[in-house]
Amino acid sequence: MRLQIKNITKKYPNGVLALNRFSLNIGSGMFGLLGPNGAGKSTLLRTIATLQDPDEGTITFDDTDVLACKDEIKKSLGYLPQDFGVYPKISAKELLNHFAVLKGIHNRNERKDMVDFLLKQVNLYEKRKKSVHTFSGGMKQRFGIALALLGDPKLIIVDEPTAGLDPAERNRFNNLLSEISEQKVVILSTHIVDDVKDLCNDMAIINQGELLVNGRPTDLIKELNGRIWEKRISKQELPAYHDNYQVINAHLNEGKPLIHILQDEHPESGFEQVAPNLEDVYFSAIR
Amino acid sequence: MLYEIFRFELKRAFQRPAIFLYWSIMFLIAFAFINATGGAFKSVNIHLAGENVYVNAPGVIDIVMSSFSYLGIFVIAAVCANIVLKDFQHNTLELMFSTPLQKVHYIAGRFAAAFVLCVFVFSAVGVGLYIGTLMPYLNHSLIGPNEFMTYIKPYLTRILPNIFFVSAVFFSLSLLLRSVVVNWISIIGLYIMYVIAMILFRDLENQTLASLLDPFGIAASLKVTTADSASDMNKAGAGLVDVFLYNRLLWIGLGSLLLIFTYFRFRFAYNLRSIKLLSNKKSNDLDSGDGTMSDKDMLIKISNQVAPEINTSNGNKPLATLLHLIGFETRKLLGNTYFLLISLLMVVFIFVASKGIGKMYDTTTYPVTYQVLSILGGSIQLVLFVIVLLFSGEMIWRDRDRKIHEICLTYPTSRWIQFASKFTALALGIVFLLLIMILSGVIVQAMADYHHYELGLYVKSVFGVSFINYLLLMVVAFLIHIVVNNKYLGHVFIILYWVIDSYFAYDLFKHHLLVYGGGPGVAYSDMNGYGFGMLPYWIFKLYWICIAVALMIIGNQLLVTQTEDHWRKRMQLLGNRLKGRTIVSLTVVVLIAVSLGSFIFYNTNIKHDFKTSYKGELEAVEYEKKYKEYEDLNQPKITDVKLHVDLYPESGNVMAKGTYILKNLTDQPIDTLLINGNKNLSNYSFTKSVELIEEDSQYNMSFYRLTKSLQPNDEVKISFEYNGVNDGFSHNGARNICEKNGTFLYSSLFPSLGYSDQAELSSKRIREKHGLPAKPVALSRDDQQGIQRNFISRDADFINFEAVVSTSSDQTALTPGALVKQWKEGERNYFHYRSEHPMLHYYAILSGRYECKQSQWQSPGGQTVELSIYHHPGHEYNLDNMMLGVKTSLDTYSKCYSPYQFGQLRIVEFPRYASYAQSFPNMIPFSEGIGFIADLRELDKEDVIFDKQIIDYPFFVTTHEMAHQWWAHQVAAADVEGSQMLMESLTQYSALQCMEAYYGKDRMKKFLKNENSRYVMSRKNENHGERSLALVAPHQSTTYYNKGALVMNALGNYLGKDTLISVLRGFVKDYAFKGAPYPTTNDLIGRIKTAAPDSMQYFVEDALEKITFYKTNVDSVFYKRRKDFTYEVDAYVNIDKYYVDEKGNESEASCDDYIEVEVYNSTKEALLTRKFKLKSGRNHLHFVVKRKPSSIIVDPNYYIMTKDFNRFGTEMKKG
Repeated sequence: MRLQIKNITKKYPNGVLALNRFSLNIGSGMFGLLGPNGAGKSTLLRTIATLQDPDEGTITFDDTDVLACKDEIKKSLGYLPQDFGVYPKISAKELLNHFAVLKGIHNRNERKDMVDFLLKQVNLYEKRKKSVHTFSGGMKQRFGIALALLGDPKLIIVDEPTAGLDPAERNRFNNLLSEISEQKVVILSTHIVDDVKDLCNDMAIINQGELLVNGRPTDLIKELNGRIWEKRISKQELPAYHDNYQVINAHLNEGKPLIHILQDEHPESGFEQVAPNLEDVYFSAIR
Repeated sequence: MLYEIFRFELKRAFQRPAIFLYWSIMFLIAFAFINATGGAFKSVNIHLAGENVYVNAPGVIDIVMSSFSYLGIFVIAAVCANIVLKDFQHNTLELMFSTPLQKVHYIAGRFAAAFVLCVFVFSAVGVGLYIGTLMPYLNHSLIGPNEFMTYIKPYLTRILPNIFFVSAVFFSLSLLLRSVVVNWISIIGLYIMYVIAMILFRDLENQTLASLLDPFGIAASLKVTTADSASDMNKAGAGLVDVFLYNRLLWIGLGSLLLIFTYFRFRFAYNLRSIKLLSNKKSNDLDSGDGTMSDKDMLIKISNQVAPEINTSNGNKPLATLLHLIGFETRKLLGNTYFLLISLLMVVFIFVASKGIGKMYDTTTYPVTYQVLSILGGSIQLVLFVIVLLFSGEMIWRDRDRKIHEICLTYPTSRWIQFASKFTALALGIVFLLLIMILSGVIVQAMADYHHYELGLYVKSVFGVSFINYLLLMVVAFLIHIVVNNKYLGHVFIILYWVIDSYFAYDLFKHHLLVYGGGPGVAYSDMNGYGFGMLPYWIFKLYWICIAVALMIIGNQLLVTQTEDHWRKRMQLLGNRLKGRTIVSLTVVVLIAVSLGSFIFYNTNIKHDFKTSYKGELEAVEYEKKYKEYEDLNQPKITDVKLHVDLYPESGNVMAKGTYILKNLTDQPIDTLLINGNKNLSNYSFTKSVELIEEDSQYNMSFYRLTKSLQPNDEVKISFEYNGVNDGFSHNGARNICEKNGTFLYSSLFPSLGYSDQAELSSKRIREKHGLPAKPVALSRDDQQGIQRNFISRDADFINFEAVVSTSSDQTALTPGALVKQWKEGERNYFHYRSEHPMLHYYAILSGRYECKQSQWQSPGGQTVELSIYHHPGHEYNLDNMMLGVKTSLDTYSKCYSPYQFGQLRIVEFPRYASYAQSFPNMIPFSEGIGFIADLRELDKEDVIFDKQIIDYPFFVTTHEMAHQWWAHQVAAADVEGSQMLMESLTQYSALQCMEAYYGKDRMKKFLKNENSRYVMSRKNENHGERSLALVAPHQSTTYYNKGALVMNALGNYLGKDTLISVLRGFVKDYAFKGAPYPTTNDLIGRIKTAAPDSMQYFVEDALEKITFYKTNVDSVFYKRRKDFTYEVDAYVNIDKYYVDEKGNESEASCDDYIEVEVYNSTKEALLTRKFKLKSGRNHLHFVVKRKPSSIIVDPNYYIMTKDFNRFGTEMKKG
């Protein structure tokens, strides 16, 4: 199973170049897509999900041309958008059943099994008779993944699913994702680096419509081995460090900036070498 | 703070295009309206009042402005909703409510902004109208002096109060309920109130109630301008007095109360306190056990589950998906609270509206199915329109509004399934509403104790005729929503479409082929069903269905299925999608539409004549210019008519042959015959040698020169053939000559002689537009040509008539004359009629499957008259009343005037395509729409106050038509001004004689009050200047019918009934069956004056030769008990009298006239009825009554004419 994205370019009417000759290969398993806000993640995902057409380029899923055979691809597609709503006053089960029909599951028994299975899988079976619009945020996201899983899709796209969830719900959601990723292509877009680290066997970092990095998270981290240095400084010193070093990350720790720099040799004293993590990969890529 | 909110809202609104869009639309409509009425478009003639009223007369501007304020409520709703619901829609609610803002500032600031914005939008109307009148290309003789007050006053009295109340309603409800849809329900509610008020208003007794009830004040303003004449309308609009003032105060007050209520009820809170009947507790503790498990549990659980096998290869079952989606959408629609609320409102409306079914003289008809259907097809359209408007938007936008579209769009559901399911669901919603309507209709019938339920007819009418129009409307609504792709703008455009379609479409596009959904109408009649109308109706509809399908195919390709929806992208998609099966099916439906369109065009424009009204005008102009010179060409008169007419009810064809004998009754030889025919007439042949010198196939005029001219008293026989084939259809629908059942044909089917000025244009404005000289509305009383002919037919005096009429074997054919012979030949019925007495050249031919009620009348002198009523089976309700009318008439008229001239009298029912009865020699065709189904069950109900009493109009109409057997068929008036008085006013008076014997005094009063109101209410529509009865023109029907009845009744009272009757008897004696010269009003009024005493000469002149009005007012009245237990009354009565000239100018006249005064005791019993001689100004009356008086009325019996048609009593005070 393979999703191949070749030379995708997308320019919006307002002049924003969302994707610029973007190419990427995605195999089965969980694929993490990292990038800052406005990097072009959602554009890419929507394009794969047939929701919009690129100006140029091709996308193929196995042997299917995603852009030309939309109806074909839709049968094996599951998409969970960044932000979605539901119809009011409809129970979870009923709504899932409704969408199952839309997905093309016409056998009543099969549909019932599928709906029950999915509700159990996302752990909403107890709540199946409740109206979805009364669900909490985490429950709604889980319901969303059930929607995306309808019809046993081979290509699943989830766009920032854990944003706004509490840690417990996030955990739960990630468990769900990892469980479904076998024998499927799952694209997870996020800006939470840890999610990618925890879940994905392959990842890409994009920014300003271009692919910056692509590879296994462990490989990418390995590349930075011995090149990340950390120092605690005062706020006033920060501009100077920015001028002199390749500061890839500066976050506050106990109220004082803790900076990470990327450098092959040991910088001035006070810097300590630290083991790189995925966050360092991310920040070094998007700089 | 308040100002800041106000300022912010205004600024925000003025930065957006919507408010300017509304302004422009209002401006354009107002501007276009003035252009249309002011004669800017040659092909459009619109006027709101008579031709003597300026297009910018205050009275007209008043009406126009209030129509705007009522049609513009959509705009008010939009503006209010936008301002109120902003916070709820854009989630700024929490930001707004967490500021230290005070509720009063919030509400007052926003309401003020909404109000000011609406006023701004409506300012376009005045500006548009005013600028419109300044346009140089208009016909400025139609435009009166332009004064600013004309435009400003309606704002103060109508637009501002209406905006205030309506915006208070919309503002409050949408604020309290936080929903836009309540605005739509309010619109329907307001509209229904308006319609109900208007229905009530038709009832004279309920006018005050109706005036208060109408939230727009239209009924109230009509009430205070009821009696305005044309010149009154030119002078001023409705004054803010009386009920109009109370109405305005009432609704402004209610609006204010509503705002105050809103202030107390509204809460600055995020959650609306939920309105639930049953509280569902479980839904509140969502988070307590929301299925959370520990992560460990979860992992265990997951490993235990096995995904079910799903066979997704069966995913291609579009029908199953479609059915499921239809079910889903339909449940959503039928479960929608607002849908149900609107349905409920509709039902309420049906029940209220059904109270006034078919009202005539305050008497309703039985709720027969077609009458009930007419309610269902009337104002209720608005309800269905709103349903279509709202829910098409809701369906198209639901996924996007709920933000679920990104998920749905990645599902493999095809576009057409989505579209088809929404369309079908809405169609099912409409079906549901229509079924409810039918059910309500049946309940209305049951409640009226009418149990002839025709479910088949309901279904046929609702689903076989009207349903398709809703479907076509739905296509437009969906299409607009899809194309515009903006919910809000979509609504604006759909409303705009609807307004244009309902009011302007035919002015703009003329032809059914160009007006979306257009086609000829169909009319149902109990007798004739839908006649031949259904086939053409459906041919037109099929054409529109094809076009609608084509539109849907295109719309479906434009359906947004991705997250990008800008136009470039959509057009690109459209280009990509228009291929393969789509383009094939589009081509197919377009081809079918084109072929149907061509077929229709062939029928309407090639086979038959399609005439726009403008083209019709041009033809009339040409006809007049070409042939007017032959108007005075001497022609012989028809003395004998023989016909053989074959009616074919199955096919609608009529074949006939006929001969006329023409006789030269002038003292000059005649050498040219001018035959006026129609396109079905042919094969003219003459017994004398003639030469065809000119034949005009357009106007069907033929000129024949007699080789040897026709000498005085010489005769020539002409024969002709008539071939009327029901061939195809025209723009107006079927072209059948006779009906399937209930044929009613006129003598005008057959040729007439000479130039007919009937075909000329008569409207002053239209003649002016075409540069024609003004046409007198009638010939002068002294016109020699006019006196030589009667007003009914210019080419004959009294004729001998004979006809053989054949029809299908199940029908009876009728025409004037005695039935000489009747036989059957080859499955057809033949009837041979011959008149026993010379009669006017005025006959009808009827045929139908009748039942017949028969009776006989014998005169004291031994004359026997056979009486029959031929009626539709099932319409037996009032046959006895009609028969009684015939007999009473024969009794009364033969005693008062002269013997009845025929041996038989037949009343024949005909379909309700026209709703009148008409008198032919010994035959009265009577529409099924009047009389036959009048509900007279409460006629004899006692204990009803006289205002609520119903009037037996089947009896009255019968006696009226019977009187025409004398006043027309014995004495025919000359074709000059005033002749209608001789025909109709005398007939009305005669009918009153019959009624007096039969009705009580109260009913008479009620009848006279109706006559008075109809006359004064119609005066503003007079196009040519009002005339006295003596000179009345043929178009002034309320003068010669309604005023005529009052005036003749008063003369009978003032001169004495015997005196008047004997004058009339003498008049009949001298003029009956005399032929030319025919009598005029000179002849009758001369006789009346001779018979009247000197003291009454003034009254005869005032009543007949002048237009006289009085104003009476009881200033104060006191009574005192005297020692002998009688009562002394002192009354102070103000009298004004004035004459009105042709232009409508009123001039004060000095009064020293006899006016009746009646005094009543507390049980409304008359204690004294006496005519006093009253002078202009204040009069003091002093008299004595025997019992204790209670109230006094001046002129209780409608002997003098007043603009106020109510005769309320004035209570007496103890003095």
